[in-house]
Amino acid sequence: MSSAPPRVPPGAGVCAIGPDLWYRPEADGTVVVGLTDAAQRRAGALAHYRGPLPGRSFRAGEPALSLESEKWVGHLGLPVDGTVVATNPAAETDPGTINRDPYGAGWLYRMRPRVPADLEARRGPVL
Amino acid sequence: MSGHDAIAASVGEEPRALWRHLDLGRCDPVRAQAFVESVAESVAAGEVPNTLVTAQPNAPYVSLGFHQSFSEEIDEGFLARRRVPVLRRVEGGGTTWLDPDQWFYQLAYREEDGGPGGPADLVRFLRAPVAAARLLGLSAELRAPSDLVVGDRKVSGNAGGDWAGAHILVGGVLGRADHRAMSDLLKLPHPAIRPIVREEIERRVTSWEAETGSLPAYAAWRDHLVEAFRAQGLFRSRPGRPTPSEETRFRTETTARHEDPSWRELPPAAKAPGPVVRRLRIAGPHGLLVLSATGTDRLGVAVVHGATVREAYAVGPPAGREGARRLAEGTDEFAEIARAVANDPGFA
Repeated sequence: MSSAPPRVPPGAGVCAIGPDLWYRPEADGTVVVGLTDAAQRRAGALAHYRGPLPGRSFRAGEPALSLESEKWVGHLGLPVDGTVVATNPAAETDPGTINRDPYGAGWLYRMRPRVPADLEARRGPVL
Repeated sequence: MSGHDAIAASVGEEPRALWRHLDLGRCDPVRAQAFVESVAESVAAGEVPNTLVTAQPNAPYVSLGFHQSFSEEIDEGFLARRRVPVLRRVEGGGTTWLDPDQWFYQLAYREEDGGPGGPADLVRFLRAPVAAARLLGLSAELRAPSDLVVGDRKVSGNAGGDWAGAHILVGGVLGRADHRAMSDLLKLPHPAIRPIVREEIERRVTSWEAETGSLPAYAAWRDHLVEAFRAQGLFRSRPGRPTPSEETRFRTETTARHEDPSWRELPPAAKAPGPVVRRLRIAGPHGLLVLSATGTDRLGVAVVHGATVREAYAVGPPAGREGARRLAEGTDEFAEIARAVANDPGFA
C-alpha cells in the first residue's frame, strides 16, 4: 500500500463524488475526474490504468476504465452519464502517477456530463 | 478430530455465511474460466447467494490477464503449433498456461456480505486453498498477496477483479506443471532469451506432483477445499446448480465476449520511455527484464528478484542459443543492466 501523503493537495473546487472519485469543473463545461487519495491508498501501488476511450459516451456506472494493483482489477464507471473528452496519457504510461499525485498529475479523465445537474445531485464534500 | 476440525477449533467460531457451491467438473476452457463472470452478475443482482465455483478445464489454453496485450505477450508460432485458444480474463495478473492438470476455484461475492474486494481479500480467502493443500500432504504456504508456494516455488496463482457489481477471485492449483509450454507461449524479442526464461520458470514454479510424488483425485481436492472454507471461518456452502438465467447469460453474453477478437486483442497499454522492452513476471518477485542497449543491436537480460539482479546476459545479434552470453558480476555491462533495473518501476 502507498502510505505517503499526496504531494499535491486538492485544489479549489475539487469535490468528492461516490466513494472513490473526485471531480473538478472546468470553464468549458467539462469536468476532470480522478481517484481520491483514500481510494488510491486502498488500491495500493497501481500497475495498470486503461482509460476510457475519448469520444465515447457511457451511462453512469457502465464499465469504462480499469485499474490494477496486486493482481486485482477494478473496472470503474463514470460517476454520471456523459462523454469522455480525454484520458490522461501520463497516468496510462506511468500509473504510479495516480498514487503519487492523485489530485494533480494523476487525474484519470476529462468528461462532459450529459446532464450537468446530475453531478450536483451526486456531489460529496469539498475536498 | 479431523484435520479440518482441528483447524476450525484453532480459527474460532463456525461461519454464519452460507454460500452456493457450483462444481462445474471437467468442462471446456471458456466455461472453466468464464462461467464465474455470468455468476457474478447473478450474485450482484441478489438472485443467488455468494458462490464458490470449482472446475477443471478439459483442454489446454492460454489465459491473458485483463491488462495484458495479446500482440505483445503471445508467440504466434506457438499458437499455430499447439492450436490452443487464448482467453482474456477480467481479473489481473500475467499470461498463464492452463490445462487439465490444473484445478480451479473461483469466488463471486457481494461487497456487503462477502468482503470489500482488493488484494486484502486474496490474503483472507486464500487461507482455505492453503489449508486444503496441507491436509492433502502438500506443504503450501501463502506468499502474500496472491501466490501459494512450496518453499520459494509457486504452486498456485491467484487474481481478482470487480465485475458487474460483484467481486471475483480466481485461482488454480498446479497438479502438474508444463514448464515448456509456459515458456514457449511467450513472445520474446530474441530466441536466445527463451532458454533463460524456461530455466527461470523451472526454478520458480513447481507442482503438486513434483512436490509430493502423486496427485489427489480432483474430487478429493474439491471436497477438502469446500470444507477448508468452512474450517477457516470464511463460509459454509451448499451444493447448487447454475440458474437458467446464468446459463443463458453465459451462452449469449459471456461466450460471445470471449469469442470476439476485439475482446482478446484489446489495445496494448502505453509504455513509459526507457530501456525496458519486455517485462516478464515469473512468480512473485521473480522475473526477467529485457532491455535495449542504446546505440547497439544487442539486448540485455536481467534475471531479477525484485530490483536485485541475480543474473545478467548480453543477447544478440546471432540467432539461437549462441546469442546469449552470461555477464560476470562486477563488469561494466552487468553494472549497466543493474542501473537500468534499479531505475525501473519493476513489477509494482
